[in-house]
Amino acid sequence: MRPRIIVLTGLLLAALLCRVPAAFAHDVKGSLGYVDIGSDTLQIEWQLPVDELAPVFGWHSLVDAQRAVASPDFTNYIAAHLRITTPQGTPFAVTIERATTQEHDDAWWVRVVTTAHGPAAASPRQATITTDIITHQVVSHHISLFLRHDFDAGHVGELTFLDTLHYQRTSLQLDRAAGSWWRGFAAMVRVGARHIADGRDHLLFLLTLLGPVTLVARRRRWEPTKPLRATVKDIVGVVTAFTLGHSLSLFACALGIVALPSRLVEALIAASIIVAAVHTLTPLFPRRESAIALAFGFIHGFGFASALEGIGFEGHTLILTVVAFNIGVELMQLGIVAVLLPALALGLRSPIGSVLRSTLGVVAASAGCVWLVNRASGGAVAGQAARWLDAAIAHGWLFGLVLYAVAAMALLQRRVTSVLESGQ
Amino acid sequence: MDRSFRKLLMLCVAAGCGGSSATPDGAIISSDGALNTDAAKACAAKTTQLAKVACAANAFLDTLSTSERTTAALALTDYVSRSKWNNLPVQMKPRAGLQLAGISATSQAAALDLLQIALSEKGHATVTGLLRADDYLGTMQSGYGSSLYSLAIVGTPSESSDFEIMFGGHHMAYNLNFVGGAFFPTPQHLGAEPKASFEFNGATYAPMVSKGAAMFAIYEALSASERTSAYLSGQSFNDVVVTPDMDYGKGQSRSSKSAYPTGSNRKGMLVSAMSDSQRALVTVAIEEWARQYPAEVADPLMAAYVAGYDDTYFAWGGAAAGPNADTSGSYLRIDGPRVWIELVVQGGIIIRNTTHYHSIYRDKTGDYGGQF
Repeated sequence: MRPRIIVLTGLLLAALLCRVPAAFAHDVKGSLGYVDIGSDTLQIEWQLPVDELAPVFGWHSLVDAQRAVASPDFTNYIAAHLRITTPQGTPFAVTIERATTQEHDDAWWVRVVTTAHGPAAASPRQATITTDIITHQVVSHHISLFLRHDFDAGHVGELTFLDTLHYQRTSLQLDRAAGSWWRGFAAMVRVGARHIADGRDHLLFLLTLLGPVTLVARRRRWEPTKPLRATVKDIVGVVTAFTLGHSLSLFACALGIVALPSRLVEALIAASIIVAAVHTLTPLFPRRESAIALAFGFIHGFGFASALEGIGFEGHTLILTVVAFNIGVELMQLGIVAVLLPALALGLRSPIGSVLRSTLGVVAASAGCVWLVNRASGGAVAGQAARWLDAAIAHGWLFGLVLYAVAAMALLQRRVTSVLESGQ
Repeated sequence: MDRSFRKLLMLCVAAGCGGSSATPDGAIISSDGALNTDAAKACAAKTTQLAKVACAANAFLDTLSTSERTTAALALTDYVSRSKWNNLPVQMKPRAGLQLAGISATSQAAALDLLQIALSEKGHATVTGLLRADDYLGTMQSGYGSSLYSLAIVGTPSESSDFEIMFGGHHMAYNLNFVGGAFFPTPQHLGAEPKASFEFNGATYAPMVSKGAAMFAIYEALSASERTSAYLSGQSFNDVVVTPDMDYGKGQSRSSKSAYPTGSNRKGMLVSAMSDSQRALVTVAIEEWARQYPAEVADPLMAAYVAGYDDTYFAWGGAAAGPNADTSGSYLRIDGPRVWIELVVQGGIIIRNTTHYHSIYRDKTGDYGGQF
């Protein structure tokens, strides 16, 4: 069989074997409100089920809903049914972003973000949220409110249930103890670090790319003769370029300057791992690793930014958030590279270096492939393989141990060889 | 290079497709007929309902492995788990306790025996019908089936201590609380798709038919002016008002308690203002839910509910033309000082072209035995 046919047959088999997850239909749902407290704003992301809004507006179809949601009447409806005040009753100024319809959790929802600015000297930490969106008519409806971010309290991302509002309970008292910007900053550094510790694709890319930097490419083969000084210089170059790349896109994305569809970003990140893996097997771009790191760093930055999506902060809280998050990303990245790279470099320069290199290349390429297929298909294909991969990589410390064992053996072997040689 | 890329692509396809484990879609759990186990038969011979249920609950626990027991047995103070019941499919809202799917046939038999002992014949028929309704749905869509229901034993079942039996899954929640020797069998959620009778494996089931009919019969018996006074105008109903979601995983009944209508929201036709024959229909309807339990349990509950008729309202909502079992949004309820029963007609979810019922039976003071 010709290779192309093999590939096509393989792809066909893949399509047949991979199960598409079954969709679950479900009954009526309540609305959700995610509350984000910034230093001077109170932002709420509302998720309102189209089915529940339908009796209020007399919608008969999704098209009705989409048309209505795009009109200013809908924004006016939200404005008329939402009031945010200080505990003394002075109103906050509420601005409402244009609402959009979106499908998730097997239902259609209207997403609308409201941002409230308090009167002078009022803190968004003490506020009364009053709303009867939908519930003024649909008495079976309920709105669950969750605290999602409270920057000054160092509360980021985790959902804390606040209360359920319904036709007879339309008000919620928000009373959050005072915090400080530093707590939020420290929490975001931790989020960034955790994102790298959990986001193994970024690490795998960086390590895969760094491996061959310790070697020299000669006649399309890798050879372990690179001087230490040049090795260190190149490593610093690659790491710096990666940092530069991802910082740029992270800021650009988080500040809303650029946006890329997350499916594309995730697939590109997977592709970057495959490219780096092939480069480990056979030099694709020797001595140009820094440029590659810069380019792919730029892609990975969009991935980092997804962790900050819908963070619900504005102004200087947002800047602080992004800076702190990036610092966390950087610290964790440098830490792990510092721990693993010496062993990796030693191992790659040892007599079994080429075996180690091929193993790293093949493992990274397979991982990249699984992620690529899984992500490009929007999770429909290779879900099980991706879960296995995640489970395997969760034991990444084992990889570190193996690496150190190899490095130790390499050192020992070199020592023995030199003793034997000096004895002769 | 070209060759290595091709190899990689193959590798990619091979790795990308690594297996897919099937979800254990509801294998059918049998719950028809007489008690399955000798242990349960011995329990059923005891004299009080409390003794019978405690005995059967312990008999179930005794069949479990240590790890299964850890999952099935909850602490009385674990209010978060105790509020994990719902109407939605279990993939969306996991239930408290141990799912029938993964346990031995012996344990499954003991679980069903426990239910049969804890419920009346009417209740047992309802449970069986609802389990079969989900098996029936399971033939149309994965993720439904009788083995996906869960049982939890809360506290230490005995005649002298408080405990709770929770059993439920899609469209079903029984929360049977024993507190201070008294029985509080609520909150109880029952629903069914399909709402009409259906055939499965040659047998006919109709778990919600008599419940729906009993509520609609009250409406039918009212005169035109009585219907007007019982109408909840200006309100829409997409589900029951004091929904399972008010409680799910919250560990408190504050939200659900606050949703019972008060003040001008509390309206309808007073049962005490009804004729004897109309009032009898209300009693019949309440019994559809409250007599899911043996007479020893249901008699005192019914006595309390009937005694509250001078503060009990019958109301209906939805389209002003009148409630209709085939029109979604149709709504009927009984709202007393303690008893709270709602029946709502909802659009089809799996069986698209026909409506289905949700119902809830709560006791305003007795839910969870008043414990949280």
